[in-house]
Order: sequence, then structure tokens, then C-alpha cells
Amino acid sequence: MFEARLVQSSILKKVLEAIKELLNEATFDCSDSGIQLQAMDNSHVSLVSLNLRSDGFDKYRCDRNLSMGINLASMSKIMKCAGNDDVLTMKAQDNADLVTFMFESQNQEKVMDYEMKLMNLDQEHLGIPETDYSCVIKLPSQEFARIVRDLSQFGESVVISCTKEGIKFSAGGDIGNANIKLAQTSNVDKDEDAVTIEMQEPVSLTFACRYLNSFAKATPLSPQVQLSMSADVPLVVEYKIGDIGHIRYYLAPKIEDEDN
Amino acid sequence: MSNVKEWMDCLDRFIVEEDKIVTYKWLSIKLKIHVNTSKKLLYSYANSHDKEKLGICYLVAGEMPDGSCHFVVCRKKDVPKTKELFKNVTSQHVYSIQKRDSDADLNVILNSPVKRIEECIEDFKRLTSIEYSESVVRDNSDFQKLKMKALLASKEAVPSICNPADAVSEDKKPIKTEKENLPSNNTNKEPKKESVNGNKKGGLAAMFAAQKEVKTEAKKPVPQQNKPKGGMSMFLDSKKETGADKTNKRIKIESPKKQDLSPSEESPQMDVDMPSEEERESKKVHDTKFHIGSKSKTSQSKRKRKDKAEEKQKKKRKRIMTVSDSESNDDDNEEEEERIDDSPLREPTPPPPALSDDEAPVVGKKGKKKKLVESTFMDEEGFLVTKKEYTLVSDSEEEGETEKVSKSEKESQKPGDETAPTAEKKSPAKEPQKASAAKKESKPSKSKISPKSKISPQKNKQASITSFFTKK
Repeated sequence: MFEARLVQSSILKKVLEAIKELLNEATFDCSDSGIQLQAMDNSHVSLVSLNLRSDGFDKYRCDRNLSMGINLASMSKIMKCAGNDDVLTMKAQDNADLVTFMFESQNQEKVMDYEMKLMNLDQEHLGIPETDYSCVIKLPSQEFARIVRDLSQFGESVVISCTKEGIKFSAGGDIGNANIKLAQTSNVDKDEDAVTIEMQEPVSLTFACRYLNSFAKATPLSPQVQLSMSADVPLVVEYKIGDIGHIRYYLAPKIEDEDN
Repeated sequence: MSNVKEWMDCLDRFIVEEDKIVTYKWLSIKLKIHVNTSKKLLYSYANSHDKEKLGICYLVAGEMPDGSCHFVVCRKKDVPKTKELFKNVTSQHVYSIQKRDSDADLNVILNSPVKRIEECIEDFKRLTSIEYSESVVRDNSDFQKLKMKALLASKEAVPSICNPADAVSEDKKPIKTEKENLPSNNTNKEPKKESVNGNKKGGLAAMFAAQKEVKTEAKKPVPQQNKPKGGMSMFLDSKKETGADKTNKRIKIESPKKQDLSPSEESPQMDVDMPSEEERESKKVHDTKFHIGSKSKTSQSKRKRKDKAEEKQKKKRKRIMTVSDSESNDDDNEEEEERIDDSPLREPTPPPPALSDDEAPVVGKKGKKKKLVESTFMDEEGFLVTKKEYTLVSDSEEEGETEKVSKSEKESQKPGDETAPTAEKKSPAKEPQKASAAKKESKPSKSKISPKSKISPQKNKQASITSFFTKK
């Protein structure tokens, strides 16, 4: 028996919005410690890793580890049925082929039940090695979304270069080139507006804009985003999800074509 | 038919459970049914299931505005767009179905594994509609004899550094099927309208212009996932540069062939017998886009059983001998021919590494292929040396390792630096090689990083996440 109750159903709504563009379907692995999801996009260029800790839920019970293969488009449809203030309860029997989403309004006057069929999905988990990243950049998530959106008008790739002075996003294409530089902020009112850079050595990597744009769909989840980069390893884009967990996107860099 | 239900079950299993890319040809061989039945099965499967979820590819054939006949494989959503390219669409049918509608490269679908032709040659003959009564299955010894003769003849004509022993060792195909001058494309039931010669008359320049046009058309429907534009445009550019040189042209033309055809669509085994040089050249151009020349018409109309043609085999062989004075005719011999073409008599300047490859049996797991890669270069004494080696190239996007199973045809002074770039060039549209993953563009340095050189999408290839993280 699996049961998880979340007072803010909007969190799961936002999570769905944040992953459904990259993934068509995914396996939610429910265990005693919480709910995990790891999946690559269709083209195997990026990877999504979601972690929702059990202690972040108002009520969490998972007797036996459970893997729920879920069609994210269908789940998103169901989540859209919920009001933002509704309380969400997810339920599934052991070895069941159904999961139930129950939405209760705050005043308990309205209760909605949605059952969704589960799918059998191939489990393909990747081992992600612990890495000490050369650069860890924190910036406002809206800023990041804006930069990526703006630069994707110029080209399909964006170069992210991080030096002591700051971080530079560059793109170029038919219409010309674009550079956006962010310096470390000295003092700000709110922590979440700060741009901070922790750097061991400068890094410059190229990434495909379209994936970064998809990652930016997680912006509503957190006011801040953390980018971690090292030479020759995938970029990590991490959004914290309240005090319940995080969502991390890994994106393989574009590598130099030897023909050129 | 009760069979139909069985077949549909099988098909469902292949697609849903085994997650295979089911092409009509593969299905036809697998279930031992006629290709037309196979196409019908795929069609009804596509209709009876959720079209949105399935990855369905169509093969559209027809007449182009320039009068030539083309076959284009495209995704379902691109069918209307593809049809617009044609002046007159003669046929359209389901080419393949897979479980998910992925954005994966169409080349993967085109190259999806089919059994080797030799292994199922009998099935092949039985299950297709196209027959050529004079086709003859040869055994290995016949083949070697022919090669020797062709080689000796060509040696008289043009001094060459190759020796007969090499020719023999080149022979890897135990069985050869001869067909008339048409690509053995089983898919064509419709009448062929255009003569290949129509294009030829325009001269080489016209042919090339046409080919370029075709290339863009055929590529259009392919969403080049994971590959920044670089792939195809690089090809076109390089072609422009060497446009004047005939030999180079021929060599270049061959390389796209690899990408565009599935092994079954046009495999070395099903190659043509005795085309004149011109014919062959034009044929190659057309092969790359599934062109069908007018000759196929005649071959199609003659629907006779092949096994009646034993006597004709001898005749045929004679024919080969006479013509092989000037050039050889099999795919294997073609390589030799190239060598001759490249010889200093005809071409005093050293040619760029030749790019021609034959597909060898699929080795190892799905998606990995052994390819025969040939490179030609001038050695220290001024001789042109052609070196062939087997390169293991993976098909899928994720794994791009190339292991080299070196098989030297000739002694080579500099095998390393010659072959590696060749392999690279051969598969510009293929996935980034793992080796190259090591060379990331990131160069951590205190000096200003000039992004300009890196901004261009053409210079970068998208790596796969699986090359960084391993499966648990």
C-alpha cells in the first residue's frame, strides 16, 4: 500500500509542468524514503532526476517499494483538474495497475477522485557519479529562464562560460551574436536575487538551447536555480522544491566536431 | 485467413514487447510472407492502434518535377510535406512501425537490422514481386575467378600497384546475385516513368545539380535530432569544392549512399551486373535516393523464375570477361577500379582519401555495424596505396565507439592518421564518437575565452548523456 498526502497539490502540478516537455512517460519509484524519478529524454541528451523526500509530505506511507510507470501527459491532465489549494493524496495498492489521485478542497466540501492506469516501463537507471564541479553558479531562476529564452532566438547553441568575473552566456547565428554577462552581486536584499559563483577553475561549455528552455519550465518551483559545470561533464541545473526535495536536470554538452 | 490474426499478434509482439523497429521488409522475412502482405499488415496495424503513440514511417514514391523517380522515407507527420515535393505521387505505404514516436534519426530506421541478404536470399526471391529471370547465384570460386580475370585485364590496360592476391582477399561475399541495372528495390510496384539516361544527357554538372536538389528534398523530412546542422551541409560543401574531378565525384557520391539506404534496400550482394561506366555512375547517383531507372521496367515485366537461368549464367560470365577489359563490375571490383582511376596515369595529383565502404555483416549487438572503410593515399615512393579496414561503427545515437579491426590490404606507412579522419568523414551525420568526447571544447584557461569560435552550431556535435553516465 502506498499513500502520500501533500497539502500543496500545486507542487506536484509544477513538477509535472517541469518534466512533461522532456519526458513522455516516466517511472515514479516510491520507497520508504520518498518518491524518485529518473529518466532520459527521447534523444538521450538530457536526464531528469526528481527527488521528493517522504518527510516533505504531510503523510507518507509506503509498505513496499513500488514503481509506477506513468504517462506524464495523462497525469498532467489529472493534475490540471486540481485546484491550487486542494490537498492531494496519491494512493496505490501493491502490485496495482492503477494509481488514485484524490483532491480535497480546503474546506473538505469537495472531494475528487481520479484513477489512472499505470504502464509497464523499462527501468533504465543511470548511475550518476558524485562530482566536484569546477563552477557552481546560483542565480535567480527567472533570470536564467529569461536568458535562455532570449539567446535561443539567436542560435540553437549557447555557450556558458564561467570565470572569476562572472558568468557569460553567448549565442550566435544568422542574425548575429548575443552575449549576456552576469557579475556576482555584491549585496542584495533577498538571497534569492543574488548571483553567486563558486569557482575552482574557469569553464566554458556549449549546450543546446532547446533543452535549457525545457529545464526552465521548472522556474515556478523555485526562485533560485543552481548551475554546476565542469569541463567534459554534463551541466547540472538544479531547482529546489520547497523543503520537500529537488529536481535536477543533466545536460550533455555539445562537443567539438573534429571535422572542423 | 486465420493466419492474419497470428501475424498481427506477432507484429504486436515485435512492436510492443520487443520494442523493435519493424520495417515491412524485416517483417516479410521474419514471417515469411510476401512483402505486399507485410505492407498490408503494417497498414492495418497502424490503423488499429493509437497512431499518435506509434512511430510510423512512410515510404512515398513518385515523380519529381524534374521528371525523375524518387523514393522518400519520412515520418507520418511529414508525409504531406513530402508529397508536396513530388509532381506526381505514385505510391505511398507504411515503411516501418515502432513503439514510440521518437525523434531519432531516420537513418537508424533505414539501417535497422535486416538479416544479411545471403542468409535469406531464397526467401527474398520468393517474397518479393520483382524478379529477374537471368539472375544467377554464383559461388565463391566463380567469383574469385572472375575477379582474377578482371584484374589481369585491367592490369594490362593500366599499370596498377594492386596484385591478384589482394583481389582474392577482398572477396568476402560467398554468394552474389546478379540483377539487371536496377537497384533491387522491392517496393516498386508502380510503373517507372523516368529513364536514368534522361538525367545523364545533361552532363555531369546537370547530374550534380540534380543530386544536390534531391539531397535537400530527401533530407528535409528528417528532423536531425542530436546533430547540429553540420552533417548534411558539410557534405554538400565538400562536393562543391571537388566538383571538377571525376574520380573524386564518384568517390564522394558513394558516401551518402551508406546513410540513405538500408542494408536490404541496396546491399552489395544485390548489385548490378555490367553497367557501363556512365551507367554505373549515374546509377550511383540515383541509388542514393532510391531512384529507379527505366530498365527496371523491363526487369519487372519479365517475371520468371530465376532457377531456369542456369545456362544464362555462362553467357553472363562471358559478357563480364569481355567488358572487364576496361573495368570491373562487382562491388568488390569497384574498389579496385577506383584504385585504377586514382592511379597517377590519370591523375597526377594525389587524391584525397577515397571514401568508399561496403557493409559487412552486422556484428555484435543491435546497431553496431562493421564497415569496410577504404582510404587511398600516396606513400613515400609516390605510389598510391589503398588501404581497407573494418571499422566498427555503431548506429544508434548513444554509443559512438569505433573500434578498429584493422585489416590492411596494403602496407601503409601512416595508417593511423589516414584512417581515423576517413572514418570520421564517412559518418558526418552519425553520432559523435566517443573518442571525440574526450576533446571537449571547454578549455579552462585564464585568458579570455572567445565564444565566437564555439557559437557556430556547425562546429559542435551534441553528445549523449549515456556517454557520461553508465547504466546501473
